[in-house]
Amino acid sequence: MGVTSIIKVMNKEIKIKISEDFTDTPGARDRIDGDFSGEVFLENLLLPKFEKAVSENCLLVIDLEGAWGYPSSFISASFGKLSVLKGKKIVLKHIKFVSEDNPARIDKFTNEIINPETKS
Amino acid sequence: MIKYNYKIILSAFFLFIGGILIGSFIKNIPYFQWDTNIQVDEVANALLALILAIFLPFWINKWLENNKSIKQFLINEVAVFLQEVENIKNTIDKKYKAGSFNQEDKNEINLLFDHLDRRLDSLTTQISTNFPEQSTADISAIKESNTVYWKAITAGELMEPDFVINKTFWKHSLDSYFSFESQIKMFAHKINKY
Repeated sequence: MGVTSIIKVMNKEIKIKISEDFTDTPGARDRIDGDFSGEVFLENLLLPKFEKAVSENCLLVIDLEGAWGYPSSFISASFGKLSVLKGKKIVLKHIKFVSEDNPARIDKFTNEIINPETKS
Repeated sequence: MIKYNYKIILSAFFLFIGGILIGSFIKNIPYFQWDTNIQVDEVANALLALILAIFLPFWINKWLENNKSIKQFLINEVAVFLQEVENIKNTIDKKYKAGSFNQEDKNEINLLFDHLDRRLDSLTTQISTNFPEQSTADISAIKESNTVYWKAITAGELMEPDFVINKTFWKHSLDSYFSFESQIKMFAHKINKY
């Protein structure tokens, strides 16, 4: 595979904008807690698209804008659980967060991937 | 017309008298005579001492005043940040006393935390710009404390659909708030010592 082909493959992006593709009021942790829980987001949207990004060797871009904030329960049950399932290294390699209106938000997601907390 | 001319004449007269007085004064004041036996380096030393004596206190004072103003500004910014944290605590207090915590209230809490992140980001950027070396560890610590407070409120039962705000949750939220408040205040004291 030539250098140009490699660059083209790495430039491809898969996108999720949480506020539009899922909900603008992300909420609780588990599926039994409601439709907009972290677990539902992980199983229905995040995990399938992440696996696609890995198989195609591209980036999964997560746009965080437009939501009413993100509770820790949601982030933990989605991105934290993804990190536990797949390993933080590969998750950080294939996920990129975008949040122009509030860049500080991104740290919470990244920290959860690096140090996922499991609910006791 | 006569009045106008009278003023001009009077002004010219006083100007003339004033000029004579100033000229006489300048003529009679003592002035420096250049001693050709003086070495150049001695002159340079004297000039340097004069310059330092005049300008050094000015420069140092200005630097001290600037430093003090910057610190005071940053401490005020910390106070504003603390008010935003207190706003979250007061919102929870209000909901506890009202005995209800619906989905809109949860959205409000999430949004307040989101705004808090922006405020903290702005604050820490300003501090690290002015005191980059001294502030690194303290900034990491306050960011960590912010995350701890956020998790204390939003990681658990709060976001569950059947959540009922009770005394246990309220006490837990208060404990977390006061712990964070204490760390924010200590942060302000540390800035003062930079």
